[in-house]
Amino acid sequence: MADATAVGGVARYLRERVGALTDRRAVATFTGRRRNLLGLVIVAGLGVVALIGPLVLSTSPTETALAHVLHQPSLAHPLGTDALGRDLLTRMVYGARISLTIAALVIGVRLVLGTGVGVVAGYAGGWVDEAAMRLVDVLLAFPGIVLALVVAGLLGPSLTNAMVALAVVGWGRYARVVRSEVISVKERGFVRAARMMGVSRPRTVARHVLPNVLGPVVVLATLDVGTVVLGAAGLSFLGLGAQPPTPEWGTMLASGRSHLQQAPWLINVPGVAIVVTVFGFNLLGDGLRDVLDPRQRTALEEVDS
Amino acid sequence: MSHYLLSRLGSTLVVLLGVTVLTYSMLFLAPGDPAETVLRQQMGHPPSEEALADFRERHGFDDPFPVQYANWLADVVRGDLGSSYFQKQPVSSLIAQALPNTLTLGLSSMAVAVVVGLPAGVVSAVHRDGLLDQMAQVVSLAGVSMPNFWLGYLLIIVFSLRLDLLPVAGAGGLDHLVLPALTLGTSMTAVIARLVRTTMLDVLDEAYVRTARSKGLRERIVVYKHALRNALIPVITVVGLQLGYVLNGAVVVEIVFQRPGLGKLLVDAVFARDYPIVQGVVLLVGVLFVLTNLLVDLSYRYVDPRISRPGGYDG
Amino acid sequence: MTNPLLRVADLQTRYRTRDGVVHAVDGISFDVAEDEIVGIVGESGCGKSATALSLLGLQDPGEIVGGSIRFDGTDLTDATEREWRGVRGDRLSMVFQNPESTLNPVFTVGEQIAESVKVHEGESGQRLRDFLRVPWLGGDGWDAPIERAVDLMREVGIPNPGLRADAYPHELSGGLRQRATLAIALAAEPDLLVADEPTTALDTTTQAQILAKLREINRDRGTAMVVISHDLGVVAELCDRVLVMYAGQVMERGTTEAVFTNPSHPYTQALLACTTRGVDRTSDLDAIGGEVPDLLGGTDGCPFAPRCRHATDDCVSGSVPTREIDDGHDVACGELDAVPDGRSVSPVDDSDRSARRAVRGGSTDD
Repeated sequence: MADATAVGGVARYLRERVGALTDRRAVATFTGRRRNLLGLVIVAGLGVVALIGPLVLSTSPTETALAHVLHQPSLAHPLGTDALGRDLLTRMVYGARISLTIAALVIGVRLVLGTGVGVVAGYAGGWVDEAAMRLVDVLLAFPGIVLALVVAGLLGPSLTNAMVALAVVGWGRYARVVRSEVISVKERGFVRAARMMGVSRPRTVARHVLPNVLGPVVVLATLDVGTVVLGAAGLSFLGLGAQPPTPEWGTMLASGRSHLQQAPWLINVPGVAIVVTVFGFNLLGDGLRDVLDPRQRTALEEVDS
Repeated sequence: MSHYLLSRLGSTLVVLLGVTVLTYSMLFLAPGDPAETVLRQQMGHPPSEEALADFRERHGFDDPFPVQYANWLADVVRGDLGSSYFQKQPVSSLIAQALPNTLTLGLSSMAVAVVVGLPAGVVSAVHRDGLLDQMAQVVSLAGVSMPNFWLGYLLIIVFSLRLDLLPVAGAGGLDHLVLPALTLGTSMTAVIARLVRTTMLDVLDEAYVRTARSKGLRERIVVYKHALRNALIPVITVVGLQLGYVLNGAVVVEIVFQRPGLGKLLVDAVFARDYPIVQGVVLLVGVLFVLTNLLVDLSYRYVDPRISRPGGYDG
Repeated sequence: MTNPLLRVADLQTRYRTRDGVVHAVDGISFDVAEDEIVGIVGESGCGKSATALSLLGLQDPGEIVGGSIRFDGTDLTDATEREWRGVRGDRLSMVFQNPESTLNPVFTVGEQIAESVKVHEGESGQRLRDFLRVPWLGGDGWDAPIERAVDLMREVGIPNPGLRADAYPHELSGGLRQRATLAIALAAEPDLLVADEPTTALDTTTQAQILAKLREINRDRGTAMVVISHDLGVVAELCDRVLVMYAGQVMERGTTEAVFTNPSHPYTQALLACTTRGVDRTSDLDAIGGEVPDLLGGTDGCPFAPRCRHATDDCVSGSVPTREIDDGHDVACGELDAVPDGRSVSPVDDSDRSARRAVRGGSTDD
């Protein structure tokens, strides 16, 4: 029952939000900047490549062909071949799928962990809040990659462990955002009223607090995609993430470095792919923030207040 | 003021303690018996029972966790970070050798970032939505999106391999510092430029900027005195925090350029499972970061008279 | 009034917003003679502040799209930024509303006033380093301006000015901060002072003190003033002549006495009625039914028509005639004959003094 209401609350909120997004003004704000559209196009394009790319391609990302080693980009191999004769384009396409999957999984776990801790801390207050926030302080006291690389390294180098490390290390920010939002919502009249009318805590949280938290969290998560893609590629580059022959962009870049002179495309192609992906999500996140940020001011309000 | 200071110091201590707990307990993430893992690597074959027992005894692995932690912490407080399993050197001296390289790299890339990013952000804000601003924004966003490891190799290809101007890798004089500092500085530059732009835009909307203009001050003075001084307050915080994050990028940059700094020390130790080094570096990074935060917080109070001098003549 | 100090003619200032172009100032004209205090009164959002800002060329991000602002014979609307600076803060200065945010929080009050003094000293081509008060950047030459700032602070009634010159804005009370902004504006000994809601954020006692100070400055130095306020009491207290503004246009103008004893525009009548009813001052004007129009895309016909009891079909379109009902007393209303005579609805009688007292009493009675 409580779950049904929770789902209902979130669904209603989503409808309102989508309503807000289809609002002509909000859309105009978003589409008014070419940058936002560029971000949307990049992200959508990546999604399409990752989803259907591997279905369309007939080549294998891991099959070696020693007859075609280190070929320059050509018609047969638009992005060239690597040191084992594998088609770089094919590997890039599979890599897109890997990168986006990593991002989705890692951010999913971060979201769940962070939202959970944030809601509990904000709602419970007192020593629970204090303890949770000090834990977040401690986590955020380490530069993310350093902590992630140590955790990944200790667990043993593998893509799964790298993802676990990135997820475990990075939920602090979500917890902070959610907690502060929960605290501010908690004090508002309608939430208090619901509490006084005897609505149970979990239901109050689900109905009133979570929907309000959604906006900032969506923006945070979108911008976080860039961070996670960079982090995952970085760990793989260091050898702590995906292992060869997995066509992961960071791994590919790492193996390309032994051919800097003869085959610079081996590092440039994955490099460009990472930049474009991160860039696209950052553009999109910036744009979403402009639309979902309620602190937008118009010039008029400045003039006559 | 002093009350704030005390509670700030108190929470810093709590966080520091948490940092040490996390640092120490992280080792238990590693699968298997650490003694066996380490000895197997050291000796190249499965260790005998006696060797195992001896190793555990020597490194205190037989004690219960709280005792192990307490012993370790007591050593740490005395400045003893233990000895490397493989290099037969105290961790503290390994760190002492590596730290200057990382600090040089961090500070010089921060210098690049401030020198380029600050004016870029100001110019961007002043020409809001103009062509220059649009370009600066796209470029800085691309800078934020650039992986250090790729940028590093790009610079190597261009400046070392093609133009043969600068050394590819290693540590040494200034010429060895240029490319790493540029690599690490690029993303920081972008972060600072974006931040300065945002805060400048906020500040330029403030009523006191209008007051300054109404005095008949030149726009130059309005921007660089009245607006910038206020915009700098949040920027100082971020620059300080970035210093803490330098190691994030330094890890990768030091690997790319084979610079013997903290990052390289850490990564090598992680692969070798040289736990004392891993613990030492992680602890150092955490402590440095927490202390930088504290310092930034305090300097913030110095820069902003509203905080450094609360209250006043009229209450 | 053959040679006014300031002559504003058909001024139009517009703001581009996400929702469209806002005609904040929609063709207003008025003169200010030397020594004179002219009041502009109206509800929030009627374009008063935009008018004030336009006078100093500070309407950014808005744009002056038409009309002229002749100050002592020179049209400021086509002045270059450099020429503007020569006028601004020198012969023409401004006191803003809300002293909470008009002073820069990171510089001492003394420095901010001294800065004005330095500008006024007319060092040609202000150099940035001269204005940075940083010892090792050659930022000296502040001693004399600071001394002058202390004098100014004493002049505007800040007690203990020597000590307070070293105070940061947040260390002063609202009243003292507003006095400090006044000192900034006066540093240049301007010919014309534009005061935008100079007393709005202040308590009643402080308000009275600031008004007294403004009157004193006008009397002693002969500084002409344009005083913007939504508070009829302030205007009655201070001004020689009044403009009643609505939706970026002038509804009625005349001597303070004429407008208050014979309010002839329905809008002015409604304003006065609200005030003397003793409604809470900050919201008194809201007591008029309906809302201030959003000024988007300008208006056709009389902007007040939708809220006006006397409006006819003619009022909503075409141009509104302005009639001079008395010497220098103009009313922009097409249905003047249907509107009740001002003298019969005015809450105040003919005597100037009691008029002022009545309006002030009504408005400050909270």
